[in-house]
This record gives sequence, structure tokens and C-alpha cells, in this order.
Amino acid sequence: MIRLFKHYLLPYKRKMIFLFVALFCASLCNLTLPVISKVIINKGIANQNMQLVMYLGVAMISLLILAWGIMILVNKLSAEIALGFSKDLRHALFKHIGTLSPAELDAFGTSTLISRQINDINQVQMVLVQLLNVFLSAPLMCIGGVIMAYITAPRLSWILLLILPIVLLVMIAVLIQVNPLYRQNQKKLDHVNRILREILTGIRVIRAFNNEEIEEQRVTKASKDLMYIATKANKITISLMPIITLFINGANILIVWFGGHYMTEGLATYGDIQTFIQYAAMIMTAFAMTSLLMVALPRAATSAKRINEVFDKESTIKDPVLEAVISADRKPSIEFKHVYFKYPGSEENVLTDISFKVKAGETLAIIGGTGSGKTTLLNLIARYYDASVGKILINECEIHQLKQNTLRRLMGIVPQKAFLFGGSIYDNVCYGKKGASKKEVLHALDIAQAIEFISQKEEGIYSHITPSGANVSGGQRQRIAIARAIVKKPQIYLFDDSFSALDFKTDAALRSALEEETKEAVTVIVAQRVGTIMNADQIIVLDHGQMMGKGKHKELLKTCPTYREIAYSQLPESEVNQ
Amino acid sequence: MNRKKASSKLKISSKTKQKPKHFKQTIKRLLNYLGKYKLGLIGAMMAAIAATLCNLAAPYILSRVLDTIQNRMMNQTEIPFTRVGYILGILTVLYIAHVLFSLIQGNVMTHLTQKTMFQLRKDIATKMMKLPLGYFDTHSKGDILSRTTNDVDTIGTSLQQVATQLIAYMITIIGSIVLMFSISIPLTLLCLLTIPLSMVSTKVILKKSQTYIRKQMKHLGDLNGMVEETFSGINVIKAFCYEEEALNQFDKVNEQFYLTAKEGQFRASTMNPTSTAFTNLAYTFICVIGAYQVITGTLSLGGIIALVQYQKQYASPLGQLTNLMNALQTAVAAAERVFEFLDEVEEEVVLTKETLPNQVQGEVEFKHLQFGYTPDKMLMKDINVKVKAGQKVAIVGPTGAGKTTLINLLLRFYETNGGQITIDGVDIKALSRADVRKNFSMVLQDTWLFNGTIAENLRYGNKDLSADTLQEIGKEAQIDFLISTMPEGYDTIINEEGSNISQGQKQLLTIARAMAAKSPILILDEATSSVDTRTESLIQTAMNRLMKGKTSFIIAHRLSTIKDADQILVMKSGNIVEQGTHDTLLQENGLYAKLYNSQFEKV
Repeated sequence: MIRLFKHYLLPYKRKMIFLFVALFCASLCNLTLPVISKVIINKGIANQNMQLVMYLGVAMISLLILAWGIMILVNKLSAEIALGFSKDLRHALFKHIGTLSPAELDAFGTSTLISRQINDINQVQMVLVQLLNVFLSAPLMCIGGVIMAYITAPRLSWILLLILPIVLLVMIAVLIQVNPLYRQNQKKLDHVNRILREILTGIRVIRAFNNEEIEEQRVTKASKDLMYIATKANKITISLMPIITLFINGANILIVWFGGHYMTEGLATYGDIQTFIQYAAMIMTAFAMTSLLMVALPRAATSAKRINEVFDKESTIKDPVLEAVISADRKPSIEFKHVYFKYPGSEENVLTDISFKVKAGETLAIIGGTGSGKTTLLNLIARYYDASVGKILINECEIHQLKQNTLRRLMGIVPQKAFLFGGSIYDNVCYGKKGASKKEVLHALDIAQAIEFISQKEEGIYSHITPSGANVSGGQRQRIAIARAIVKKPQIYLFDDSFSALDFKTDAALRSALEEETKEAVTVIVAQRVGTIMNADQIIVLDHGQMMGKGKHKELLKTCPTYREIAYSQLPESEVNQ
Repeated sequence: MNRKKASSKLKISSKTKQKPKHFKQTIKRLLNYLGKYKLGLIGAMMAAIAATLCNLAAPYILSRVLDTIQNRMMNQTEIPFTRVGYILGILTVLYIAHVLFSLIQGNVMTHLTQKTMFQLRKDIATKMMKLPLGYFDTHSKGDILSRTTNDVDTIGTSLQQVATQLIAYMITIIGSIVLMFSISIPLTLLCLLTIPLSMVSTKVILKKSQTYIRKQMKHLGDLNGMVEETFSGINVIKAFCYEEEALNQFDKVNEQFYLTAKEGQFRASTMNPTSTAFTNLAYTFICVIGAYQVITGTLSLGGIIALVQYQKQYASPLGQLTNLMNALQTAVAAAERVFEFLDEVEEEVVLTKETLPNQVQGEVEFKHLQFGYTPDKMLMKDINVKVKAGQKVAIVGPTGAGKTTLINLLLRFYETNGGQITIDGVDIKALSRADVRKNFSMVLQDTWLFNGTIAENLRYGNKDLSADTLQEIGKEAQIDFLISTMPEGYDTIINEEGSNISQGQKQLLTIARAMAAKSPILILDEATSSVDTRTESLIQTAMNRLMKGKTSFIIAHRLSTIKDADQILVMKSGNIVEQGTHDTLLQENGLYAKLYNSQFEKV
């Protein structure tokens, strides 16, 4: 947390200093009030001087108004600092997450990144507000209170020196006990919520297997665990205040007992004792406020840690300092030279010795089972990952020498999971080409075979898509995502199993329309169905990351047993034996 | 599934914590939860009263002691320190009693609140199981989750705060004021005058800040939505080089949030110094007017000290009371949303009129079936199918034709609007839902597995499978090899995101889970499409073995795999347009023939 504060509070240095000065003044005002009341008792009442009392009363009122004004200023400053801090932090985190590669993002998971970006930053910001108001003023009040108490009645100050360290020790002891409990509490809470989320996603399966009761029991058990920990943690926290009160009261008794003796000896006045009691109360209040904050701190510290974890993750994929220049008229091509890939930290190669070359106008198809490395291969082309060994050339240029954005501007990528953004269909297609005309969008949708279902919608291409595209079917989503890539008119098309949710008819129609569009381009298609790719110029058959065969459909049927097996399982015999 | 319905009745609910609409009813209902523990509540309340009384007496006694000393000094008489010591001793006992009673109160209330939260969570779980599936299809998952998790958490934290402090605060305030009156009536009245002033000014501040806070909530929602969308679609953003635009858009929302949040925070935070100022004003009154009264002889010096302490004693909880009220309001607003969920209409429980025999044959019949997700828009008008026990039925058709709906009806996830579905001649409406579903095992589109071990997941449909049988099934589903390469084997825990196993492996596990259930009727809902083709052909053999003697319904895109089906149902816009075997349908040269031939169309 300190690290975050250090870095992101820096721009607010001057405001912070100003805030501290203001808090100091406000504390001074508050500390002076009891002194005035002491003068009222010692001088005003003792001498029966009502006029003096009135003057002092006016002074007190002016002081409290002054303190009020200063505190308003303090609040304005602290709001500006704390929210400015969180704004900057949000910006920085968002930007940083944008630079991470899929490998790092997957390691975190989307949901936790969202909660880090929003909830955790909020948590830290809330504590910062408290820190700026309470935490800074508490020591001021405490030290100021001790000094003033000493000045008022030096003889009595040993009582404070006795009690304060004890209170401090008690507070620390409680915090040490309670911190791990709160951490556990958070864990148990997460656990309950996770089960609830799980139930919500799996409600169909749960019902189908008649497992309602079991799931209920899971929630009950987790909630019970949570209840135990929460009860324990809260009990300890709640006992802190009465114990602090006990010490304040104990101090009061000591003050009255010894104060009484000092009074008889003429070492202290009535007013002294009264004022001393007030300072003692002030100091203890400062302690109590700090203790409340201390309870909130661990939660914020956990949040800060979660935020820092993201900042500490650096993208493994780096842009070159100097970018190679490729002329616009260079024909597109993709070439792999003995490429190997394994995930960082993994022993096993996901891709082994992959070599191929596709030129403009050609279609490369990749087929193979789940986990055979098809998507990984595409991810290497788009440089979502870097190859472990070997060279990848895009448009005859080594992939490392291009900036990621330059590289991806060449490509129209249709991911396996067709993700759409909230907005109209039109907006979504325009994502591929900023400011594309309606004609261009319609053309792209036409090729993607999306016109039919869109025309059934009342608002046509202006129909609204809910965030993540939940209100259109999987097949429709895929077609819009395909149109989004087409409208870009890229040099390289990457289709990652993009036709899987389409029925055969649409699949076939789409591919034939696409052919016209991709004459000048390189097309890479990853597929599960032989029917989708049997006309490709080159087919790579992958199995466990190894190239089992490379060639055209007919050649592979003869030479590649793996391919033959796949083909036989999908196509009628007449087709295979042609 | 059922996107049609989801889109037609998309419920947009704001996650913002608004002012509660039915404050009183909701409070009452919350209290009902607590009310179960009447004895505890009464005990806690007594403890709170006792604790406060102990504490209240102290300043009064202290002031008497000081007054006595002062007076004796004035009169030059000896001060009876033994008596003073005696009184202070009693005071010490009172102080200790105060701590003890406070601890009792706090402990009991903590227990009660946490128990209440437990009960609430339990009720939510029960409710989840009783809601019709349609509820989950028509409400956004995020909203339900936010109600069942965030809102419940909010109630928990707020209730804990309110329940443990409210009573003590109230008694302290009332007690202090009463005792102040006993010392000096005019001074107390003057002090009390600052309370309404303070309240009015806080109200003004609150009202002003509320508009900002409401705006801030909205902007927070925007921010959340923006982040959620960007992060979920980050690969697409990268693919289209939209990083910078996304950051710019984010900055805009971020800035707006900052502006309103800053104002809201500032305005809300002015409440504290304002109430402090009024407290200090009352303090000044006591000092000045008190001094006048002492001079005129109507008040003792000790009286001033006692008044100052009492005033401090009621002022601080009074300030806290605003916070407490805010906490209560958030709790009630959250409780309202939770209760809304708990009040949703539950799935109808129909009296079970019939039972199925132990040995179900698996004969299924649809008779004049009618169904629509909304009653005014019938999707299915008249479905008639007769499936003999052990038959393999394939359902094909374009997306949105109603294939999944048919399965939903068969499993009674939804209720039909007309007609009948029978299993072995028994109308499924006359059976309990559990009885119906007991006869099915299914592999669904989404490969849901829960956060437990592989073995636990496989036993999901059949609790008492031995480890050996489990392994046999694993072998049958072609995953035994895979599982055995994992360090913990069948005891490997599938983690939350299921990221330690691939999508294909998950699919295999759900297939194995269905195998383990050993039910007479099998449902495969497009399950095979994401398993790789080689493994699939292996599974197909295993499946065929499994399907032997079982009635099975298959929804598949891959027509080649269903050629040997006993019946193929071709669906279009909710109705069955063709029905027959592969050969007869090809001869008919209708929709099926078209679909079938299209997969070999030359591109």
C-alpha cells in the first residue's frame, strides 16, 4: 500500500503539505478550548469576573468557527487528493492491463482483473480518505494533548504516561489477533460467493441431476464456516472500545484521587484538574479513532497487494525500439521456420517444429483435435505469444521487428469465442474499420451471411447488442464477428474455428462468398470439420503440436493416416473415396 | 440457451444503492430474522442498559467528590480521604461492570447478527433451488449474483454495526440528557438547542451531497460496465488495435466519476466538522453560562465538570447516529433487493399423483404439445412424436428452431402450455420433477463442473460409485489415461475457472458424468461439437455401447454422426417439419436432404 501511496500521491505533494498544515491549525484550535475553560474557572469564577468570562466565551466561539472553516478546507483537500489518487491509479492500471499479453491476462482471469480495477482501488481510496482526515490528525491531537496536559498540571502527567503505553499495547495486541481473522473472514466470504456463482452458472445441470439438496448443503456449510469466523473477528473488534473506555475511566479516577491530594497541598487548582480530564479524554478519543482505522487498514492492504500484483506483471511480448518498415505494396505472406512453442514454465512443447509458407491468394487450413495446438498456432501469427524457438515471417519481415499494432493492422482476426461489444450491430462491424460507410458494413455483413437474420430484426443493422453480445445466438455472433474482420479488408485473415456454430449450409455459403473477398489476401482457417477446409491450398494436420501432414485434401487422404481418420469419421464414404 | 426469452424480457437493474422504497416493511422483515432470538435480544438489551447506566453515573459521582474536596478546602475542614477513596472504589467497580456488560452486549449481538446472516444465506440457497429455470434465463446473472453476494455482504456489515451500537447510543444519549437536567435545567436546555441546529445543517448537507452521490453511483456503474466489457473483449481490442481508443474512452468515464465523486465526498465529509462545531458551541455555553451560574451560586463547580462530561458523552454518539442511520439505510436498501429475490414466484409444486416403476423402459411420447416462452407467442403449436424404448432420436434444424426448447420441456425445466409428454405412458406432469429427471442423464452445451475433485464431479449423478467403477467409466469415456497423468489422479481438484483442464477435457468429463449416472434416457445437447474429431469417434463407440437399451435424444450439427438414428426430427421455427430415418428423409428431398447435401457443397 505504501508503494502505491508513494508513487501516486507524489503529484499531490503540495496539497498534502497544505492539508497537514491546516490539520495542525485545526488541532491547535481544538486544544486551546480547554485552556480557555480553565481560565474561566481559575480566573473568571474565582474572581467573580463575569466580564472576563464573556470575553473568553467570545474567544471560544471564534475559535470553534475558525476550526470549522479549516476543517472544511481539509475535507476539500482530502477529497481532491484521495479521488485524484484513485483516478490516476485507475488510469495507470487500465493502461497497464492493456499492455499485457493473453498469457498474463489468462493467468489472472477477467473477473479478478475487473474487481481489482474497480473494487480494490475503491477500497484503497476509502482508506486514504480516512488516513488523510483521521490518521494525520490523531497523532497531532495525541502529542498536542500530552503537551497541553503537561503544561496544565505537570504533577498529574505521570498518570498519562502510565496509562497511554498500556492502551497502546492493548490496541496492538488486539490488532495482531484480529488481522488474520479478518483475512480468513474475507476468504470464507469469497468461498460462499464462489459457490453461489457456481450454482448460478450450473443451475441446469444441478436440476437435471436432482442435486438441489447437495448444493444447498454446500452453501449452508460454507456459510456456517463464515459465520464462525465473522463472529470471532467481530467479537474481538467490538471489545476494543469498552477496554479503551475502561482505561480512560481508570485515568479519571487516578486524576481525581491524586488531584484531590494535590489540591489540598495547593499544588493544583480545581480548573487544572478539570482541564486535565478533558485532555485525557481527547487523547483517548484520538486513540479510539486510530483503532477504528486500524481495523479498516488490513482490508485495504490486501486490496493494495492485489493491485500491485497486476502492476508487477510485465508483458513478455515487447515492441521493437526501432521498427522495420514494410512497404504498403508488399504482397502478404506468412512463413514459419522450424517454430517451437511451449508455455512459460511448462516442460512440454505445445507446437513442435512447425514450418510452412502461405502466399497471397492462398488459403492455409489447420485441422486437428482439441489441444493439438491449432489456436496456439494462430496466436503466434497474431503475436499474442512469442515462439520459443524458430522464426516467423510476416510479409517477409521478421515478426519481432514489427510493432504489435502494425502487425495486427494487417490482420482480420475472428476469434474462437466471437466477442461483441455493447452497441448496435453497425457499431460492432465498424470496430474493424473506423468510420466505415453503411455500404461497406452491409457488404461485409452480406458476405458473412448475416443479412438474413439482421433483416428480420426491427431495427436492422442498428439493432442493439447487449454487452458481450448476449442477446444474439452463437451463430449470429460469429457472423457479425466475421463481418467485423471483413470490413477491415485486411491482408491476412485469421479464422479460429469461426464457422463452428454455423450450420453446414451457411458455412458453405459464407466460404464461397468469402473467396471473392480474399483473392489478394492470405487466409488461415482453423477448423474441426473436414468439410470446411477440404478445398484449401494447404492443409496442416496437427496432433499434439506436431505436423502430421501437410498438403491438399486428396494428397493427405493418401499419405496422412491421421487426416484419413478424421475424414472418415465425418464424411460419407463416397466422398472420401472419390 | 433460450436467448429469445432473455432478450425479450431483458431486465436492466441498477446495482446502485438507492433509497429504500419500503423502509418500514423491510426493517420489520429484517427484525423478524433477528426476532427469532428473542431471549438473546432481550438479554443484549438489558446488558446494554446496565452498561450505559454504570457509565452514566460516573461523571456525577466524580463531580461530587471534587465538590466535596473544594468545599472542605474553602471551609478549612479536613478532607475525609478515606471516604473519597471509598467512593472512588465504588466507581472503579462501576467502570468494570460497564466493560463487562458492554462485552456481553457486543458478544450477544454479534452472535445474533452473524446467525441472521447465516440464515439469510441459507434462505437464498434454498430459494435458488426453488425458482423456475425461466427466472435464471430471464434475469442477468450479474444482477442475481449482486443480490445474493454483494447485497448480503452489505447487510452483514451494516447490521453488525447498527445492532451492536444503536441501543447503547440511544441509552447514552437519553441518560446523559436526563442527568444533565438534574444538574442544571437551563444550561441543559441551551445545550439541547444546538441539537436541532446541528440536525438541520446536516440534513442540508446530506441533501446536497445526495445528488452527487446518486450521480456518482451512476458513473461508477458506467465505469464498471466499461471495464467489464473491455477486459472481457481484450483480445478483440488487441486484434483491432483499439487499445488507445479504449483508454481514451475509459479516461472520459473515469474523469466524470472523479468529478462527481470528489464533490460528493467533499460535501458528505463536511458533516463531521459541522457537528463538531455545534458540539463545541454547546461546550462554550456550559463554560460561559455555567460560570455565570457558579458566580451567582446556582451551580457548583463540580456541576460544570459533570455537565461538560455528559455533554461530551451524548455528543459523540449523536454524531455517530447519523453514520448509523446511513448504515441502516444502506442495509435496508440492500435487504430490499435481497427480499425481492426471496419473494420471486417459486416453481409450482404439483401434487404427485403417480410414480414410475423402478425399472423405467424409456418410452417417450409427445402428444399435441404446445409451448411458448410467453403465453401470447406460441413457439410450438402441435408436436407429436412417439419414441419407443431404446430408440435413438436425432433432432436437427437451424439455430432457433426449438431443439433446446424441446429438451427443456422433456426435463420439465419449463412447463408445457398444452398437450402431454409421457414416459412409459405416464404424464410427466403427474410426477414430481425429481422423479422425471431421475430418468435422464445429459451432456449439455456448457461444460459445467463444480469446484471439487474429478471423482466428486463424476459421482454427481450417482453418489455411491466405487473407485473401480469410476475408473471403468473413465476408461470408457477415454479420459482415464488423462486423469492418471495428473498428479492427484481422480482426486485432482478442478479449480474455479476450470483452467487446469482444457475445454475438450471438460467435455469428456461431462460425458463420463452422464455415463456414471446410468439413467434409462440420455440427452446429448450439441455436446460432441467441441470434442476433437478423433476422440469423438472413440467416444462415439463408447456412447453407442452406452446407448444400447437406452432411449437417447441427440441434438447435433454433424449430420454424419446421426445417420444411424432410428428417428430424425427436423425442426424449423418451433415445429417438426420432417420426421423419419436418414434414408426416408433423403428420399423425401426436403429440408433434411438440403441440409445434408450442403455440407459437401463444392466451394
